[in-house]
Amino acid sequence: MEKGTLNISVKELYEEYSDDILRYSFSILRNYEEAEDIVQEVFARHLENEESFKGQCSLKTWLFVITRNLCYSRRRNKSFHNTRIEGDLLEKNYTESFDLNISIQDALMKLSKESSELLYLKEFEGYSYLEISEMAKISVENVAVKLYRAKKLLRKYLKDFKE
Amino acid sequence: MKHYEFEISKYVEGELPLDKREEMLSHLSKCKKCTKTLNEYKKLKNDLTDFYEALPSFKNNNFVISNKNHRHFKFVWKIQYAIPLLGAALIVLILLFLPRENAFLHKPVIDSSVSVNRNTKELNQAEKIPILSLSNYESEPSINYSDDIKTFNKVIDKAIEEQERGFVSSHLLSAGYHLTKKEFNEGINSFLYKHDLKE
Repeated sequence: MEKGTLNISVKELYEEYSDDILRYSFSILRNYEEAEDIVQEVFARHLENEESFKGQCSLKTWLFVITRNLCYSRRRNKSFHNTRIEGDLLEKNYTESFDLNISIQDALMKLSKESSELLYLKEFEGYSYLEISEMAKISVENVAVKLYRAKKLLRKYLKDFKE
Repeated sequence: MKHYEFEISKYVEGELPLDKREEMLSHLSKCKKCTKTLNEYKKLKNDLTDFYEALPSFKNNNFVISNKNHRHFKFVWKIQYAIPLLGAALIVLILLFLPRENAFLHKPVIDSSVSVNRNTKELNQAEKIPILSLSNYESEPSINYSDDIKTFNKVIDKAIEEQERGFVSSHLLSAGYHLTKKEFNEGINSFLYKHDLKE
């Protein structure tokens, strides 16, 4: 852990990690508005407990741990239930992959929080099984098996959507 | 024939050990189903990456520590408490400025049956009858405070003067001790009225 990052300003920290935290919290909650709330809470929590961060892991991992705790301890707000990202929120590849993104979101909604989270950490963030096992507090073998099952399910759901 | 779906999944994730990788790749050259599976997993990985990349970036640049909670609190406060509070304040204001019953304008009705004479004997007899028949006042007479002071002083002066001249008006003074200020003032007013002392 680069100790210099401890001294970076809140704004820099925010600019650097807000999107990562947003995506990660979205992968667990699968709700954009709730994920946005989490981002703010994560930074607030981090600033409150900044002293307890000793640099034993990267700052990003530390923020991800806070994010994970907040996401799993969060009670699901009923008003947000089943909401999805609307077309105008999707910035990139709107016309080409809009349908695909919507179907991926719907398919992710069908997975468990944990499966969706593991998929994100592995496929998007590229964490190793070992790193994921430490973050999710499950064994390495379990990570591999759960990821395999999650992908299998996701493939199935995406096929169902196409048909 | 054994298929390698689990190994393919790990391979796409970059987690398949080298020895198993060779085994799997040699199998792939023979098995169309597993090749198709590999392509699907690769596509799935790309789709997921695209999906997360397409997520709009975090827009709220005016980050304030725990401002969400604060905002939430303010919002709840506004809706749940502000309207009833405004209503309550309005009711209090209405009650405060509501014109009272026009009681102050009623003039005292003097009990004409009570006769007060400067004659000592008659006064002594009159002691039996309440000199200040307060029950005959329909409501509070309109006397302002500065008038009260003047009136009171006049009554005291008059009483002292009468005492010096041998007239006892103790009934009036004693009445002053037992009556409330309002009743006493009414009494004084009545007294002055009857004795033509009122200006």
